[in-house]
Amino acid sequence: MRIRGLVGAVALVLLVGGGVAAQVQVDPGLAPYKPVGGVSGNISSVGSDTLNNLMTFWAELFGKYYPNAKLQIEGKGSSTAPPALISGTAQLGPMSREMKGSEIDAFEKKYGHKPTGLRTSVDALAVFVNKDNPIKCLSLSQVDAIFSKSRRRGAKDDLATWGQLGLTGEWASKPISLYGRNSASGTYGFFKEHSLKNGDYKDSVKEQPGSASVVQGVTVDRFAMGYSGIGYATAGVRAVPLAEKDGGKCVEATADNSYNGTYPLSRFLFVYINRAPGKPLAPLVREFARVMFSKEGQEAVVKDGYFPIPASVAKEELNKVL
Amino acid sequence: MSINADALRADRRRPAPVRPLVVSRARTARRILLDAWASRLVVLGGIVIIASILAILVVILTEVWPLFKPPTAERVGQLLAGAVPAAGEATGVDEYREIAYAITERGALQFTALRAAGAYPSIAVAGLEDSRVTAVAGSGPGRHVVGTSDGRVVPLDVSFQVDFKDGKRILTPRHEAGAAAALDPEKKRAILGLAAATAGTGLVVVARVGPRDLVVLSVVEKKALIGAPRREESLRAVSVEVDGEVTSLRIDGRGDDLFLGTSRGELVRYDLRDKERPTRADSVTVGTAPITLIQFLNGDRTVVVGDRSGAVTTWQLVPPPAGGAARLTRIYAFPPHSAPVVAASPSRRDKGFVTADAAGGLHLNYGTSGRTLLRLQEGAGLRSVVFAPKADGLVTTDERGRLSHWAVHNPHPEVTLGALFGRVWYEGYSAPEYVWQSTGGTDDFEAKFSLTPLVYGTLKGTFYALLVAAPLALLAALYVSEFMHPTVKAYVKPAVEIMAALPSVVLGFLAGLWLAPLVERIVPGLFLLPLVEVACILTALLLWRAVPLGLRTWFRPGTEVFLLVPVVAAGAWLAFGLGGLVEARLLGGDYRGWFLSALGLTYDQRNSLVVGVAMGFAVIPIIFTIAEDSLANVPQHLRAGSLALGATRWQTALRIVLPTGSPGIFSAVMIGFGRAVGETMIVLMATGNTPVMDANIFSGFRALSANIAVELPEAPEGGTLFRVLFLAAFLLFCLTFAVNTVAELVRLRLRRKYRYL
Repeated sequence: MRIRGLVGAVALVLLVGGGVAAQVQVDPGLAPYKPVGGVSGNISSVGSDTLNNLMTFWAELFGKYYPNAKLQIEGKGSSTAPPALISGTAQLGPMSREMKGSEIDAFEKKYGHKPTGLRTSVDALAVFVNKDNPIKCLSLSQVDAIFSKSRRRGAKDDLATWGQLGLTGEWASKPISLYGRNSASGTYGFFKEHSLKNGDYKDSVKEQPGSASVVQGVTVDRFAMGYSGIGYATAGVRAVPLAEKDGGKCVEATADNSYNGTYPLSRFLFVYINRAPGKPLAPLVREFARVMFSKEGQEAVVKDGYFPIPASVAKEELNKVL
Repeated sequence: MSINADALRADRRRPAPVRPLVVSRARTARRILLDAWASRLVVLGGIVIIASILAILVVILTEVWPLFKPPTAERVGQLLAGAVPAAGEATGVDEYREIAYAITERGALQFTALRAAGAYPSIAVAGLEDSRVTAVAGSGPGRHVVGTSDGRVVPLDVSFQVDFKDGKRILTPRHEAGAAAALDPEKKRAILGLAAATAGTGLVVVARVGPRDLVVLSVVEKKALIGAPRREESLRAVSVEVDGEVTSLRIDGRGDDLFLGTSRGELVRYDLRDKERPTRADSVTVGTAPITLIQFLNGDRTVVVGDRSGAVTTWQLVPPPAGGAARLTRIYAFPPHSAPVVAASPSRRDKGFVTADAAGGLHLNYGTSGRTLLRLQEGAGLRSVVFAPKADGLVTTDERGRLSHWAVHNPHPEVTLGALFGRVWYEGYSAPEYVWQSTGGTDDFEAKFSLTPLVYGTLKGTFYALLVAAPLALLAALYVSEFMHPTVKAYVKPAVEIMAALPSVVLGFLAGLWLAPLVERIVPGLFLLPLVEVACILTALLLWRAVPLGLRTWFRPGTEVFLLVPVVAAGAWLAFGLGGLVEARLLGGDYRGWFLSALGLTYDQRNSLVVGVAMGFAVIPIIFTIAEDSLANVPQHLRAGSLALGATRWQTALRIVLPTGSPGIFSAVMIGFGRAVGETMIVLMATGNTPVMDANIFSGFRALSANIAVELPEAPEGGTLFRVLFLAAFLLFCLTFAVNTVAELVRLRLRRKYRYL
């Protein structure tokens, strides 16, 4: 009886989650996936934690088409993807940032060609606060002054309490408790590059091993602020609208705002693969990529809370693997 | 002849001796053989252990030592391209160092194959046909802006298309010239100097058309993640107020700041954030010689300034410690060149850069450490130098059009002993500091590899763990060995030893998720706890004395300790109650706020106190067991003698047993120390892993061991981070090795001292 109740609760959560996510529509131009024969074996994926759930969804989908194929997924952070691809322990390297030059150099040194990055979905990197937090909007220079000791966006003063952000009452005197990702994370790198203009994080930012623990931290700690991919949003936290400039228009982290670039922290989520030029890709990797860029694959993106790519981008990316 | 002790003992129990006391010769021979074999096996085991430890050390050291190898460079080739590059940054090379190119004064683009035979035809760049090229500026890898003698600028992008044919790489040079823009449409003055940047919003160009006359062109492109961009252009003439003439100029990659070098050796910064109104922000005197060159390091935060006297200095915008606007501050003065500095090029992979002088001297410098890593010599008359995109080579061009191609092997430029253990002045910091931030998401991130905060964190965690564990474990050992009733001891000792069986990951998990939030609620009470407990126990003992003797004898000696259990529990209850009261009355109802305002301490939920308790819990069984064993092994006749001479049990324990057992106690604490230094999971899970350097018990830390566990998966094999992590492992090894050796030496000395007993 109790178990059935639990199942019901889970189903309800899934339904509610699906209901919220259903606002984003998958591009009707995306083709449904057609399985091909002769695909079996093992492949593994090492990389981004932001993409971890999404990889799991895709792996489930993949398993439905190819019951004989096994996929292992490990998600400790985007920076773990290049070493795994280079050493050959992984065939798929999900990353929430672009590979940087020195990582590409190391890859090229081993294989003689560059890795291939596939843009699989769109994310709005969100700044989360507790659901009870009344803050309306933050400018990027405020975000910078909250998280960074370098303040490269030009804010004059360090922002340490909620009162400095204009909150009153019991909030005014409370220090902002900061949650962030560990340095292996691509989200850490992206946030550093785009919000902090490559400044350094404050030492007081608590480095969490995964996006889920950032969101968990912000849920439990009322006076907290943290950042992670929008796919990790829960009922306990709220994504603060961001403004590019002080006093500028506040932009919500929605799909449309990410597509047209008005949300300042929108980004592509990548899956890197090793494709030798002029040679066909291993069938497992090729079909996995085709699943990702199919209608079903992009529906999984929506289900995970990220934003799907349009059919035009999907076609471009598919050309890289076929 | 040997006598079998077991047989003797057995004989005592069994009255009828069946076997003779003297053993047969064959049996003895077998025993001698077995004995010899056993001792060889033991020796072999010892040698294998020592050898494997040494092997581990060798493996670690082979990974570490390339960090300290000096960089090398060799000239791969030299050839006469014939094309003399125009002034400024008019040369480049592809990332595989196969094809170099130069933009000539006649407005042509000349590609030159560096390794293969064959020549490329000279290409006339569209828009440059009927004028002379007077200045070229770089605005990113492969991007140039070309200025002409009639006051126009043409953006020129050079790229290399990579194709693979039968597994072989084929490079095809490409170029794309943008639309020309007239910067001085009325007077058509020649462009004397040029600076350009491709900012996030679009192209920004600043051109010098007179001694103190500048023109600022800004192109704004609004990019969309998906969809077409929009474009706006604005042009503005600026007359700058400087002494002498402007001799060189450069804009940072964001298009925020314009730096001007003057003939009087002054470096002037203009704020370009508002392109319509550039304002003079800052100026410093670099030297007395005219500034010949301004260059940025990768990331465009550090300015490299070279002058006619050959001096090379780096400058940064540093926020003053007191707050306020950032000011230009000199970071390092590099060893000077012997001739005027003519060219410089930054590495696109790290903070290295190369400077060239007119006499052909090349210096390979590193911006973070302020060191010159390598000096090379070329022929006189150098015109330009470029760092290859992968930072693995250099290409120089001289005034006759002769190219020189160098291969540079410099895999770990950022590591020096000073950078690993000393204070380093990093970009954007107001002073030199110890910082560990190893990885960034981009190439222009300045890796910060200071091991000092990690060593500090390791020692900090160990200190707090021992602060909790050592007094508890040692006092418990003393009590258990000297005062506790043997029957009780038979249960207590194994119970404490079982604590050691708890996996540290479980302890870390409990500490991080259960203990940390709990401790946060009861901090004031926790600090009152030792005081209140001691007071309660002393009161209880006084009361016990008042109890009539008849009643006291109901308890067997050594078991009355159980009466203390309710007292201790009541003490804890009282302490936490008082803690709440103290917080409400004395600390203003919020101890965290009070700590911050009165003591300047910040309170982190996952802090050293929590780790101290959790790691203390892990260390207590080790210290307790070893210390208790050593105290119990103190010869019984010493105790008997002391008691017989009239000393009380307390005096005997304190003055006789404790000093005699001190070697064992010392090694107990040291072994506990070694365990705490190497502990990984507890510190990993129960601290925020923040690499801070303060002794505050309410802040976290990052230990060497946890750092290795956290960062190894993200370290590419053979990279700098990978090797630095091995260095951290080596340090950890040395630390435990040193501690254990010292412990053993002190133990042996103490043991010798008490040997006569």
